[in-house]
Amino acid sequence: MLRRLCRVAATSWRSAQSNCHSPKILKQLSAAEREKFLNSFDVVFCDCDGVVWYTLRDFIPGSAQALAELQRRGKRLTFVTNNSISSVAEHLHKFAQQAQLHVLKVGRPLMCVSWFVSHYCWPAGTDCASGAGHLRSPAGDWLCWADLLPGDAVVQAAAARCWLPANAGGELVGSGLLTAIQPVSFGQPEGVIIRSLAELREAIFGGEPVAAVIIDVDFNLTATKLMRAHIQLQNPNCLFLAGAADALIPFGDRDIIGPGPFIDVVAQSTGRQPTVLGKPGEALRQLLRQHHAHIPANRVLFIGDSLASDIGFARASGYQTLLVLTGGSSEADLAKLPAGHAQMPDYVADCLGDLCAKPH
Amino acid sequence: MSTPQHILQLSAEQRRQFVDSFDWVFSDIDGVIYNLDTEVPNASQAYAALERAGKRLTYVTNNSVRTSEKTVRRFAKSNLQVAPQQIWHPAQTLVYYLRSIKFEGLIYIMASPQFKAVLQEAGFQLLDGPNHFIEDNYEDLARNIFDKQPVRAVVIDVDFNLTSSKLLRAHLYLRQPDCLLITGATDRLLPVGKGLNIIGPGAFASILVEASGKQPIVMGKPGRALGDMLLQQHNISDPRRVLMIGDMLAQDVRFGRMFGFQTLLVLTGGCTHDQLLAETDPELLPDYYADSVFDLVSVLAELVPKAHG
Repeated sequence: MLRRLCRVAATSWRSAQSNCHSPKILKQLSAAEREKFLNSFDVVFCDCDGVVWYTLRDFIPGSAQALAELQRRGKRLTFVTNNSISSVAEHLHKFAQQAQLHVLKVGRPLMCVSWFVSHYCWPAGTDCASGAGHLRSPAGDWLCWADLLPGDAVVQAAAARCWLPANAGGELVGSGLLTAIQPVSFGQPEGVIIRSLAELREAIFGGEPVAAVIIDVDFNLTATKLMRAHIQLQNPNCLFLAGAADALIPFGDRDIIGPGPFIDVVAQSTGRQPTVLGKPGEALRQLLRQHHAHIPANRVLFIGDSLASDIGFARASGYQTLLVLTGGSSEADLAKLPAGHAQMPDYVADCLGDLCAKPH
Repeated sequence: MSTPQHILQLSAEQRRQFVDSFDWVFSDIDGVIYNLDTEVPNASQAYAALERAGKRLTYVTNNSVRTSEKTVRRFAKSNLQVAPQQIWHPAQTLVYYLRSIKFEGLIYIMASPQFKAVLQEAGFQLLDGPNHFIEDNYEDLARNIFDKQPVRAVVIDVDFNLTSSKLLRAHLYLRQPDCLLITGATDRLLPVGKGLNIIGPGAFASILVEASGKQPIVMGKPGRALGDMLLQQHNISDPRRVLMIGDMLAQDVRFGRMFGFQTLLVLTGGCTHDQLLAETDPELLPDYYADSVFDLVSVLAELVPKAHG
């Protein structure tokens, strides 16, 4: 999808810098321009994979220094990641390896899909219908998810069983919500081979009805899980939530298929559109806007490595955008965008470290 | 564009013209002769009557899960004598196709054990998997999807145990420009009961088509490769002399229209009368329709004695 969207026209952004629709190259800003840029935002949303660190490797050189510089300047820094494979705790542990960073001390430092989902199903401060107690989100103060769903639907999702064909289950367990939101395994136990039509039928139609279907990255996603989701979603009261919706995920030197196409299979078969709580989902976009309710959108900078999932997503909210070339998008991808394209970033940097590189 | 006609509403003269207008019958099986567990009542009588009228029958199904031998045995129980060569399913079609292009090399396959057996018996070399649980980390995923073996074709058909990691792995093989993408059954939804569908193999195959940007070579209906081979193997020069019988608009009727066959839709499977009436795409509109293939019995019964007299 990303590639297809990018394959539009061949305008080199380097040769067309004077055009106001072309991105400014961070390294080439003068000292005065750099100061002006750094003073032009108060809130920073920052992606993690491909921006702060590589998917399999370590911190991208210079990224920790750049984040520390943003914190030193008093920017409100929040990480927005589609990666629910690593838990929030693991993410924070990774940040803690960098002495100059103080991510743990920030109010709501990191948001990932599983966290969004648990809060979507369970707004902060909502009384628990199943008697698990009065739950508050760790942040406690800034999210009101109830606007997004009719109140009774939320209660239903939280009180009834919720089916999670995704790794998000682990995060929900970790956040203490398991007593309320019960991940239900599907008819076919993990790793069991289906050999007959009867077993296939049990995998698709067996088990209890669920109140919500959630699809995110699942390394063991099976066709039968999606087929079961299709059947459960015939019930119009069953919620359809999706996490990361990337069509392709950069992985080493190539792309692998992301969760997006699997979500699309169910969306097409059921004729229902999911509430997408990962980038570039509309529901997530609304939530992020609530995060800076008193700060205008043009005072927000969004930093990411994906033209579709980060830049296009952020521009639709009116944020300033910075594309870094250390992840899913290359200079060539950018060059293919026509001037003024909806995924054209305001700024480009070879890496996040360019934020604090010495101006010429 | 003419409106589809119910074969029982044809006049005596129209019925005669209809019956005389074809020599070959390509018939679907599921939704026409059988549904998942049940038989369409008296369907076999229609095929017996077609044979008595001198029509040559070929069964063209998207279902490779049921072997040709099993279909022959099941037909025999309904007193239909059918030779295995009369049954075309994607696995069998793929063997014809791979031989026709003199294919050599490794095939990565996502399909049923029955499908794989047909290819193995024909001497092709197959690779599949992973068939085990993947740990929740990218390192284990990488170990299971990155593979350096020289795969020359990726095949995807019905696989009850299809996983996302198989599709991710297939997508990586397809990065090689000379690696073929071959698909079997194309159905995006499979009817399994009244008003009840399950997601079909076409939906999963389309993930690979989208991600790889490759045009698939389609062994099931409505595949061009399938139609070309059917015409060639049967030495058919005038496709108007073929009647395609099926229950699916997007598979059977589209396939028939692509090749200029006459088309008869039966309402015993994946399409209701209301859905037929609502259809506006001329490529999906059949020439004729019937409540059941059994309706052919009365159309043929009135004519056959006369034809012999």
